[in-house]
Amino acid sequence: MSDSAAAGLAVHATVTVRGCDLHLEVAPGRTLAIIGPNGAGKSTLVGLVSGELRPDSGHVHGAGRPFADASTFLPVHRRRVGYLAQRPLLLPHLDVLDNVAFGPRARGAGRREARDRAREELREVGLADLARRRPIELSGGQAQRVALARALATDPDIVLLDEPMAALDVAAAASMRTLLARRVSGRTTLLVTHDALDLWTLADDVAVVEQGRVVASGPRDEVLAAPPTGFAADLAGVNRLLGVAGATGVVSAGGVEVIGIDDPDLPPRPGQPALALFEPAGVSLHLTAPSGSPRNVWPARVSGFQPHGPLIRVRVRLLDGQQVAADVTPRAMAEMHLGEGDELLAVVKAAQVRVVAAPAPGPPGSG
Amino acid sequence: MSLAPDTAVPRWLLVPASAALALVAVPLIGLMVRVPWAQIPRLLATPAAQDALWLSLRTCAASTVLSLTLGLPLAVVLSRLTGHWAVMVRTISVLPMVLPPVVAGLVLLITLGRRGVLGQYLSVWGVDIGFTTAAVVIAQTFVSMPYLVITVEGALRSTDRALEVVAATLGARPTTVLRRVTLPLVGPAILGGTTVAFARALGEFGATLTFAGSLQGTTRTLPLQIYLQRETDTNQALALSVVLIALASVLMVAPTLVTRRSR
Repeated sequence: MSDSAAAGLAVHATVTVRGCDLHLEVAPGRTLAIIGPNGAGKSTLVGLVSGELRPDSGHVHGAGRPFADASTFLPVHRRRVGYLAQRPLLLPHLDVLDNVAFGPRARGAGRREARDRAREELREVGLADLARRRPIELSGGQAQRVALARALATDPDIVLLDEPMAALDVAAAASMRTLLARRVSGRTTLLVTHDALDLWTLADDVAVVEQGRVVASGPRDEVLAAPPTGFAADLAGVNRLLGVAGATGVVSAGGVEVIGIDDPDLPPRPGQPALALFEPAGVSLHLTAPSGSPRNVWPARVSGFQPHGPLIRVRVRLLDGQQVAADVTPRAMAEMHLGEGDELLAVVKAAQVRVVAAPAPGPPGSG
Repeated sequence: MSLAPDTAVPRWLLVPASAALALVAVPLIGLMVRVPWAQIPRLLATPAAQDALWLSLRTCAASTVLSLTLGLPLAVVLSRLTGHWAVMVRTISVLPMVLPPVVAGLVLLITLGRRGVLGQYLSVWGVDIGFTTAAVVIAQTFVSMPYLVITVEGALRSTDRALEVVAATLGARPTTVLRRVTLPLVGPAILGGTTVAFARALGEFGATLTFAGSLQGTTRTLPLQIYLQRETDTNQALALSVVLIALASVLMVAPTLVTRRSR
């Protein structure tokens, strides 16, 4: 590894017109996934790192070099950031080989040397036999693999992945994900994603962005064990109710007392913010109160539906506005004649609710 | 020749469409009927005709090179401008397209002629542009360059800027991006714009006559020669017209042939 690859990426910068004040760091050789809703500041972050955006204040450092600060602004072509976007963006007038050789050529390599390097990179992504094809002759998945080969052929110090699987079909996305996991591991990588699968296969660390701020960051498993935002909880596939811890196993949230089991690893403290976490599959919906074992029974109002595999994910809103997702069968839904705005009861067994201390607001180690 | 079945048009549309085609085709056929085909070699061999032909080709080649070297950079800059200034600069850039050619010649004469606003100072240094072959080239460029600029600028505006950004992330300096990404992407438009500009320069008449005059071998291009001979030697005028029509037709077809082959 070269010296430059030994240092990671640091962003501490504001972009006023976009209302962004972003602080995060990627440790050398690690992959940090950025998650957050649309408009949260993910593309601003991408622009700050790639060099398309100039920060109004603060600084961006990559691989030990200043990308942008009060006195310098390194243009895009001098940053050594390998960029892979949603679309492959192959140059249509060049064949596959020359697309991949473009970077080495632009950096001063001779034609033969650049093409040798390009062939090597194409072999790494399993497309050596397509070298002489035109981009228009490739499938979406092939084109994206060529784009990865092209980005890595320049030996970038930082790899910037901006939803690289978002435009691919499921099969192509799966093989691309496997390929990325192999080719990107050990490189300092920033990954913007909307997909939980990307988190589990590619990310070492996760940063959650909301309203122009990094609201939490840290090792993936820690961040997802106590999702700091509803968006993060959604990606982690759990329901998340924010409230205040009471007696053991009790959180007052959603206008009611939530009964669950304290997590010994992240024990909540009475009077402090706490999260109640439970799976959508553990939530059942009823029109009348059920009898039997101790349960949580919350009045709720249906706010939306979406297909979820063979089931239907019903979103309901509790009295205080917090949302809960419940996975029900189409048959159960039909029998209840559910529609948007209907009032009902959401029921969760206490044994299925995990209660944890809410993560402190703000990213660790910012500023 | 047939209409594609899935693009059905109302039948009545064929009537005005045919009239439009006839408006253009019938006069061309009329010319073909009247042209003394057997005499063409002899008519084209006269010194006046030869001078006009070669002068036209030389000046058009020069003005096309000028249009490319100056117009391409202008098109690139225009395509990146935004806001009020962009509207103004673009309007000025393409104004000659809608200007009556005689007015174009007049503004050139007033500005660059011997006693012109700038020309009077150039005269002091011994540079006289008016009524020289250089004046022909300037008049042709003035009138034809906007066709190249507007064609290329339009193409540049519809290209995907993200391709240029990706090229930059790969380490390409702005000049490399221009040379290896931006211009190749609009290659067909450059070719098309260049041929249209060449064709427009070839047909230039009003601005040339006003600014450069009509001196055989120096400023009397093909269109001027045709105009001069139309009554005294109609046959020669017709023969030269056939040459112009042939050149124009080749220029129209050439870019599509080249573009198709590169696919």
